[in-house]
Amino acid sequence: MPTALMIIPPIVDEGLLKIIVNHAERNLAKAGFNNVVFCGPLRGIYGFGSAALTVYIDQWYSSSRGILTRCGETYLTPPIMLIRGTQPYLSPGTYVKLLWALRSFNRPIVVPARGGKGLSTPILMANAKLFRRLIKLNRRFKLASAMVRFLIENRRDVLMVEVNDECLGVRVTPSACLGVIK
Amino acid sequence: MIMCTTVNDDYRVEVFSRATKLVLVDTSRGVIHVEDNPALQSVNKRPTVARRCVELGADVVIAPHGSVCYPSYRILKQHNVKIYVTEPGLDLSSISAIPLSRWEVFYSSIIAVLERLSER
Repeated sequence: MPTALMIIPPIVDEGLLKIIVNHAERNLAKAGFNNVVFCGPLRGIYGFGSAALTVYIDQWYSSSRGILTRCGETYLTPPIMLIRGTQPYLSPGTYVKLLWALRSFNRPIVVPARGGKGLSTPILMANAKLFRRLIKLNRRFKLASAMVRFLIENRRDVLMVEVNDECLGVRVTPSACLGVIK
Repeated sequence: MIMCTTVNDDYRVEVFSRATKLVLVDTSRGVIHVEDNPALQSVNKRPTVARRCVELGADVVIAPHGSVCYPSYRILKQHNVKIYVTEPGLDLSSISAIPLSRWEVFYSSIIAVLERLSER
């Protein structure tokens, strides 16, 4: 039963934060993630609760270094998908494709790719041991950097899956992929 | 993942001490076990539910707001069961929850004491 963990960045605009949480929660539930965890400065903004269990961890942070230690204390059943909330607009189809790739090929780490180039978010991990390695790296480095280093360190285990998602890699800005969501 | 919680007759989550049923939910398969809430026949209501959830092998306990008093917290913590808090009245099919806080344990303990006093 897959789990998705989305680390929400500090977002000042509460309306935008609500859209992101609702959108991500709905898409992850549609893709088959029964357990969804949002962690970050949520300031009491919670989504619709579309997944079987959605956990909201309201956690303020000034630096993303060590954030996984605080968010990872929750019950996560593998496979675990870690998503940086700075790029939250992926479609359910993309998540489904990553899950399919993990189940179909013998590689424990799956990342999306575009034009043959892999991206560092989201990362789908087959087991909790890999996630613990990432937590360890995040104690020393900021989240984005830790995710990249994790992929480099485990490059032999990484499967890159070409996905056709126009919002892949798009950052949180009101103009970017918000039109697609609305 | 196996979740343990308590619900009323229309399968909405209800406080441990007032619910009519105790249920086990597999997040991928739905409800897998239902039984009468053992707390209704017990003096120590909340800890009875906590103990039963442990006996049934739950990974996670979904505690409606006001359910986890200090003794039940101790029982669940001892057995390494994760505890999340939710609002009573939510539908069992999709639960939104937050991690347990000290304030929740304090609040639930006060409520438990008041409930006992009102029963006398």
